[in-house]
Amino acid sequence: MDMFFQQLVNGLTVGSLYALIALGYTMVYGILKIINFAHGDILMIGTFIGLVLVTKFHLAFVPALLVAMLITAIMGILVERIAYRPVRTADKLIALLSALGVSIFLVNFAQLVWGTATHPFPANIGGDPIILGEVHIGILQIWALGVSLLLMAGLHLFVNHTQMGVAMRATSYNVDYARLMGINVDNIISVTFAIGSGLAAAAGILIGVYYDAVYPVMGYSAGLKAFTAAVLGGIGSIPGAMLGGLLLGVLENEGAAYLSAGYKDAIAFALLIIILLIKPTGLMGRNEQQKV
Amino acid sequence: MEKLLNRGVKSVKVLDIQNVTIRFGGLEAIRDVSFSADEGQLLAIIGPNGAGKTTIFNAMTGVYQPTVGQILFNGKLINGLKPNQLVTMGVARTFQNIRLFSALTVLENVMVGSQCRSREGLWGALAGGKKVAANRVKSIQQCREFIEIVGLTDYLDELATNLPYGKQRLLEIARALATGCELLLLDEPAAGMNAVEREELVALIRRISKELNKTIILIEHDINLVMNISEHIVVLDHGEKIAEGTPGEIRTNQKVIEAYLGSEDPLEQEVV
Repeated sequence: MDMFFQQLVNGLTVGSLYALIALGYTMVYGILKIINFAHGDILMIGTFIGLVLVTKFHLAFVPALLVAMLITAIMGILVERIAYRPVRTADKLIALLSALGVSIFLVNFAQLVWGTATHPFPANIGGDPIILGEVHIGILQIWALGVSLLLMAGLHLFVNHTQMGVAMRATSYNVDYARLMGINVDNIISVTFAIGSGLAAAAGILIGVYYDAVYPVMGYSAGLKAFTAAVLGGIGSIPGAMLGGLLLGVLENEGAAYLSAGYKDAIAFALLIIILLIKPTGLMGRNEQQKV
Repeated sequence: MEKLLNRGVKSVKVLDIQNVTIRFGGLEAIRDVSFSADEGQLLAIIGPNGAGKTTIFNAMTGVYQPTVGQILFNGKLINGLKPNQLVTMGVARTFQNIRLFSALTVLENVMVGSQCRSREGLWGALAGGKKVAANRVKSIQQCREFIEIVGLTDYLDELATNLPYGKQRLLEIARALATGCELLLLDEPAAGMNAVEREELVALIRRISKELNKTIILIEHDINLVMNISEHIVVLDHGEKIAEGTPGEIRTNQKVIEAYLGSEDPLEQEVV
């Protein structure tokens, strides 16, 4: 039973990070109906920015996290302006290609600037783990879980209790109706990219600190898992992304513990296939209805 | 401005449609239509199906652009502006096919309407602060007032999709009012309503016109309602304006009778 709870803690930690990243996929999909395949690489750049702030500018962890989120948010806005906005009215496939282009560019940019090696992330977060019976909760796990839950709670408040949040949900429901109601859809899209990218930077930095590794292709695996989480929860649904992330994290860790660690990814994707077979819209996705 | 003066108009019209033609490829949906609405006027556009009524609404709200001609709002040319810009300027509308955000509550739908007046911004929304919170409370209060005007206070937190059809139409009106519009365009507001609901709607439209002092343009098939409520009527047929005048003038206009229904006393027959 101890192993179960230990893996539950590990799973929730990783899952909350998946959820943070999945939110970026799901929010962009909700409004633009495209998958931002550069999202994982935006995360990677955000992580490097955090690393530079800590190592070169000697910022403490929390200020570095916040500044990196802000810079990455601005980068997210730029990516949308440069790569997605010009092709918004074109076929969705074009936007997808544009996203892949951004992804390749960002990875190569990172390799050019920081090299292909793996960098450690010296966050200087010390402290004793909390020990409950046989279950160890490391200080980094508490940070990862705490920061992600805080950010998700913040997003929940933003989306449900501010005027801009309501406008964002309206735009996600139907872009044309929203425009006819006076919502500046371009602004809402910029805000969506800013928030998604900021959250990705936070997740990336926490991942970098948690595994003590930052490298230019780190966005690939993180992005793929988070994308799975977003689809699992129902792409386009914000609570769905949170639920999907946590569920994926917990199940793949429990599975790895009871079956074999080698099956970790297989478990994640098998889960995705099973849920999509039973509920094609994902756990909390809504049916897309075409009305005349 | 010079053009307006030359035509001998003293005050600027709220809406002035000048020789507007709208073509879709070879199809001419609107041909050389002109009419205008004065401040506070309640104007109706009628015509058989396919006459171009909704097309002209779409041109007034930036969904379509006139191929030829000009549309002026408060004397300003609005050709080429986007729908959201027009809402910000003060043109709001409801839809023939209801277009609510069905996954949002009644209050949230109206808040979407008020969003274009909000100066909250991203930073305000994220950082909060007393001023932002106070503005938000004020804005929500205004939204509640608009909901009360249309009589949906009991449904405040209900999802829009759960409202009966007639009430959804009322919610669209509340949402349009929340944009702070000066010109309100109602596209078949009575469609699908029963007799009691229609009576309430007439009272509501009158109230919006008189108490809130909005200029209203209305598309409606219910001739009784149109004759009863409007001060001025424009009749379209096959994309052309065939008549305009007071309800009394329209009722007896031979051209309207022929084109619109083609029988002896058609306007009475239309009422089912």
